[in-house]
Amino acid sequence: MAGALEARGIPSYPDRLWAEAEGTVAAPEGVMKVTHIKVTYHLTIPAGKRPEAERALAVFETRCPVAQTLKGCVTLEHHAVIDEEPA
Amino acid sequence: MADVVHLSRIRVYQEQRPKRRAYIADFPTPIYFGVHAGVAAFYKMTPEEPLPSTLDYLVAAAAG
Repeated sequence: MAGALEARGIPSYPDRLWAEAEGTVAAPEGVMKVTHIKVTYHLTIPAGKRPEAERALAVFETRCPVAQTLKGCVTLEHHAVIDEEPA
Repeated sequence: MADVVHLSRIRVYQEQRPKRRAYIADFPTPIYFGVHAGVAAFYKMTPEEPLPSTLDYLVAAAAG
């Protein structure tokens, strides 16, 4: 995520990006496995950068090595809470 | 939908790229992600502090 943001001129550090994730573990066939991962990103962005941030959120998964590894096996769900700094 | 056995709760904080600090549930000691070796070369990065990548953790989990 940080790379996608910084490619669009949005700094990801310090104290600008954190995420909380919840992975659901179930045992539908008697063996535990991760079935679903929900990630909520918390972003602080400069004024006027919301369109770029939303674009980064929309596309970063295609460039994320872990997301690409899990694709088709685990359902990934992403959300974002965006705090835009005043102009 | 199958019954939920466990919810894995994680928080990840971005530090100076490519470093990230992650906390698992209420365990107090963080783990750190970054790049090293082939992953660093792929991204054409020379990290100040080589760290295991997220992919390394996936492989470690598979071996565990």
